[in-house]
Amino acid sequence: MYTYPFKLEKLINEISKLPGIGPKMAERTAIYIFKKGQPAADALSEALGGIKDIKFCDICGNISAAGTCAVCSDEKRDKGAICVVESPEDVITIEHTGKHSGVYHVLYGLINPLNNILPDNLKIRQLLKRSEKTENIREIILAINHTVEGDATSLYIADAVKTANPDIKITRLAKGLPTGSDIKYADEITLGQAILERKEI
Amino acid sequence: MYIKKIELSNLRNYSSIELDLVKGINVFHGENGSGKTNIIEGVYWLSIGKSFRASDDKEIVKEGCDSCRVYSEAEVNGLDKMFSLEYSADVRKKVIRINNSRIKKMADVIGEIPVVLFSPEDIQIVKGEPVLRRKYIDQMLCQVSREYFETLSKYLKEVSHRNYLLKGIKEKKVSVSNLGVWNEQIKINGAFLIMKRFEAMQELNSLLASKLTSEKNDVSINYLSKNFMSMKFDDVIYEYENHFKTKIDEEIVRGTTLIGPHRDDIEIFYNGKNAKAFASEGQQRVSAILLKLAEGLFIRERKNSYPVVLLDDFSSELDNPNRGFIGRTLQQFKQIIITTTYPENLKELTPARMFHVEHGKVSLV
Ligand SMILES: Nc1ncnc2c1ncn2[C@@H]1O[C@H](COP(=O)(O)OP(=O)(O)OP(=O)(O)O)[C@@H](O)[C@H]1O
Ligand SMILES: [Mg+2]
Ligand SMILES: [Zn+2]
Repeated sequence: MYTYPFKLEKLINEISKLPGIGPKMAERTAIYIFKKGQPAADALSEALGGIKDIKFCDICGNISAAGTCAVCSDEKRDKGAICVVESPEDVITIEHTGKHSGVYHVLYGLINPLNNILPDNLKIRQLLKRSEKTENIREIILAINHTVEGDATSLYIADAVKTANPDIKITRLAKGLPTGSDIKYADEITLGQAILERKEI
Repeated sequence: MYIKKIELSNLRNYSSIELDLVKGINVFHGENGSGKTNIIEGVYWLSIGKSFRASDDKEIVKEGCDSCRVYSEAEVNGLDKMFSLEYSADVRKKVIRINNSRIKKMADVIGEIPVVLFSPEDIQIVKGEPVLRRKYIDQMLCQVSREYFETLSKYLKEVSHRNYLLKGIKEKKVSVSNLGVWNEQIKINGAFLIMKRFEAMQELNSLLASKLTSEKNDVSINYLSKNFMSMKFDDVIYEYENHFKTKIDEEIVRGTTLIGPHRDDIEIFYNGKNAKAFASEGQQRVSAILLKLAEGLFIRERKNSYPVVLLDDFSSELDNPNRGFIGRTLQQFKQIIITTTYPENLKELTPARMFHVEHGKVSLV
């Protein structure tokens, strides 16, 4: 019985490990790369090789080209206001609104017991470290979706930050965003408005 | 509001039918299995987005077909509107349109064509398990309040997160401190739901007493919540906090959240006595119909628009005086759709239009 050459099988296998890609899709993608030929494959593998130069920012956890990301190392950004988001995509979305002049903190997920995600599985401890009195943070803005898991995560962070440093003002994006909707899909105007109309919690 | 026209395509035993309905009572009569309930199911499906008897939308698609569609023209607060709902079985997708524009979320449609349905199984609201009475009250409130609908969905999800944590705590996989945020959310949303239900109960009782009563028949209800003695928001919050503190060990052992709207019940009284325990079969049926009609009047008051009353298999097991009584109370609605196997029984209801149903064909009588 014919099977693909081992080296193609190996490519299919690696591709199929990616999120949202099933075995059929992986097969199609691998064959596509083969058909495109070596130059295209080299370009892809060079891009993949570049991953080693991309890092987590050691202050905010966002994706960064260096140890400290461009936002955290920008002199003009207000280090006293941290906008907390679920994922790196949300940072990009909020940057597009141009309405946030402070810095960020990326959680990489939301509290979700049914999926076995508890506070310790998120970058919440790092946020609490940043909230200590010596760090001079004035405000923490929770740019977290108004979903069940988003509400629970916001509440958890608000409680924990208040305990760590009661002087910090904690706000959450106004419900200008339709409930249950994703910040990723909100248009810039609505999201910008929500940042301006954030409410203290 | 009222429905002027309804079209069913490839739904159950109908290939394609078009019906012109009128204000007042529209009767569909025909033999068993002719397709009467299917018509009511179609109207209900368009209104609520799911069937009341099929657990899977696939079931309502005519055998051998890939998709089905219900279309209707209705007058809503003086405006003529078009509604359509189409389901494709292969991709399991529903497309909803109002005036030909696509609507993304079913939640934006619920309540646009308000309906209230009584089908023979609804006697279980009186006879059956508490879950059916909770469903009765929740469905009613979801039709009139988007906020209730959203809070209920959130609340139920929060309870399942919390229950999962309780099981994890029992197995020593997670710590008790993880419950904190869920307790907070659940008590606030739970108290909101309890308040809204309690308010609705009071309104239903006054509607039952003023508009849905006769010398022989008197139905009233009472919200039953084992742990909440007072129905004030702050008291409910206090009871929740107290419960979370004192009953935590029991909740961990049982692995489930023991109090809240998901455990509450409604007590139904017929002529002052518990209907589940004391009323006869016919009296239980009358009670269930009156509760449904009370739901209809409740929707009318809250939405300022008449719901369409759907009565499936009406008249089965009701005596003459009770049929007359229900017939008179129906006069309070704008449009009623009734199915029956015995049209003779409905003479005193003075139907505005009669249809005869025969194997997926409908003709005006
Ligand atoms: N998916 C389907 N495709 C085709 N026919 C169907 C489908 N589902 C149900 N039917 C048919 O529809 C008929 C049942 O229709 P319906 O339940 O409306 O009857 P009815 O007139 O209300 O009868 P009864 O008086 O017994 O309540 C049956 O003959 C059944 O075979
Ligand atoms: Mg039937
Ligand atoms: Zn950074």
